[in-house]
This record gives sequence, C-alpha cells and structure tokens, in this order.
Amino acid sequence: MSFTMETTETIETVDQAIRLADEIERVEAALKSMKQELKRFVDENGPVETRDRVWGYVTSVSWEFEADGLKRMAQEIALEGMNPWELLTLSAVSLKKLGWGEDVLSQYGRKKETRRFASRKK
Amino acid sequence: MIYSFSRLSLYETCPLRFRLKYIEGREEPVTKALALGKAVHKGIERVISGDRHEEAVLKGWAEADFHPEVSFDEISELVEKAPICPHMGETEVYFRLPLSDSPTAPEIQGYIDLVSGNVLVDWKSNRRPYGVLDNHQVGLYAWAVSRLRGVDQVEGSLYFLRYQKESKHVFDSHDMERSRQWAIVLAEKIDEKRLILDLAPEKADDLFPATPSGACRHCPFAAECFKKFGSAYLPSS
Repeated sequence: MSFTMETTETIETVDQAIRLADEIERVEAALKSMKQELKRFVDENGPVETRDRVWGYVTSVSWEFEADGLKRMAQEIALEGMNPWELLTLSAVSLKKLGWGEDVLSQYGRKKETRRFASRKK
Repeated sequence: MIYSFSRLSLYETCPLRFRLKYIEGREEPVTKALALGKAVHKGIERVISGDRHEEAVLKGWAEADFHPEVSFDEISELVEKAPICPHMGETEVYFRLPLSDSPTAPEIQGYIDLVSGNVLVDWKSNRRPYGVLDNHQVGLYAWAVSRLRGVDQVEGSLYFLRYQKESKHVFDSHDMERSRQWAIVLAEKIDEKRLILDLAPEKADDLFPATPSGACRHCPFAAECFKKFGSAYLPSS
C-alpha cells in the first residue's frame, strides 16, 4: 500500500487554510481506519515487523488507589521522611468533582495553562 | 429515489459518501451510536404503546440485533429519561409527500417519533445537544405534519435524552417553507446529477465529489477516499 503525496506549498490565504484543515480531517480519518485494519491483523497474527519498527501492543501500567490506601500511603511517605504533599497531587477530574471556582483554587495553587494545537467542534 | 432528511443532509455534507451509500448501495457498518439510537427509539415507542419498561427495553435491544457494544442497562437508562406515558400520541408516524405540486416533484419520506395533535417530538440519544433550528429536520417534519393534519402551526422539538434537555420551536408557515425550499433545491440538484450520471458514469467523481470536513471522522470510506483523492487541498502551481 503506497501513497504519493505532493509537496505542500505555503498556505497564504484563508481559503487555502480551510482546505488544508479539511484535508487534515480526511487524512486523520484515513489514518485511523488504516490503523484499525493493521490492529485487526495483529490481533489475529501477532506483531508485525517492518524494516525498522514493530507494530503491536505496548502495555502501559497505571495504579489506582482507594481513599484509605492513599491515606496509609501518605503516612508511610511521611515516615520515610518525605513530604507526601510534594508527591500527591489532585487530578483535573478530582478538581472538577470539587466544583470550586478559579477564585477559590487560586488561594491554594498556581494556574497552569498549556496550549494544544487541535480542532474542536463549533 | 425517495429522499429523506438524512439523505439530503448526507449529500450536503459529502456528495461522495451520498453516492457510495445511496446510489452504489455500499454497506456502512452499524456503529454503536446508530444501534443505540435504534434500540432507544424502539424502547420508547413500545412504552408509549403500553408495554412494561423491561419488555420495551428488551424489544429495543432486539431491534438493534443485540449489538455487542450496546447494553440493556444503557438502553433502559435512556428510555427511562424520556418524558413519556402510555398512549400519549402516535409513534413512528410515516409520511411520504411530494415536495411541490409539480407532477415531477421529488418525494420526501420520514418517520416522526411522536405526534400528538399539532405537536411533534424527535428523540435524540446524541451526546452533543444542538438547537432545533440548527438544521432542517424538525422544520421538514413540521411541514409534513401541517400537510397531513391540515394545520398552520406545528410545535416541533428535539428531546436530548441523556440530558433531559429539549429544544423547541413553534414552526409557522414561513419556517416550514424555508425547510421545504432547502429540501427541494437539494433533491432537484441530486435528481439532475443522477440523470447525468446515468448518461456519463465516468463523470461520477465530478458530479458527486468528496468534500472533506470534520464529518470524515465518522465516514467508513475515509481511507478509500484518501487513496483516491488525497492532497486535493494543495494550491495549484
């Protein structure tokens, strides 16, 4: 399966930018579909080795702690001589659950903003 | 071809996908969203017809062929959220009407989820609510109800089950005419193109071109489309 892509020229007008943005949508949708196709093959036949890559599953590990476990962990961290509050943090999901406004949160911490380039629905 | 709101809307979004689906008869996979919508609509219809909740949900699930990604509980929860009671109106009201008085007028058909007097409701299982005037679906259905019932005004609403949120509008003759106009212009354009396509099949891609947009995310033909037409955005040298 091979695709020929012409060299992208510099985008100078709004119209060209819109067409490029729409093309990105098509390319990303096509890419997703191609990955699903490859995943289906890997599911049935195992990892696929190309000349320089291996396509397959990578396991990522994460931990979930119940409130009680987290409390005991904090105590253990303190006993080891570290400040648990330097290690434990509130996730964005937890903050959302709290429902506190920025005016309240700003009394306890600093707001960090990160910019991510993406499209969103109007 | 008999048109429907979804057909016209799909043509407007991407003529190529419209052609593949409705002219070439290409199959599209049944997504979870589609299956859930089908199941929930059936469930609600059955409750209004007098079935007990569990029985109605089970019939809804069966209607969606027990789609592997759709659970009984999810259907049940959404059916429960509908503000309905037995025998509150007519469900799945079918209409098929010519879009004008001309003998060659294209026809439009549809199923209206609930009609009670001059009030119509369309249930939505979408995750993203929108306004009843954001597209012409309810406007067209209101026009159909006005024709079927001989009324001048129709109250039409979209009811978003997940959020129990309703978007409502009282459609007068002006509103309905606007939706009818939208439909007839598109339907006549498609009819004309289909006629040319019959005479010159090689012009298919020019008549029904791919129109990339955010809708590509849900298009089962995206990879095929990219292989065939990719890089169309590039400015000509």
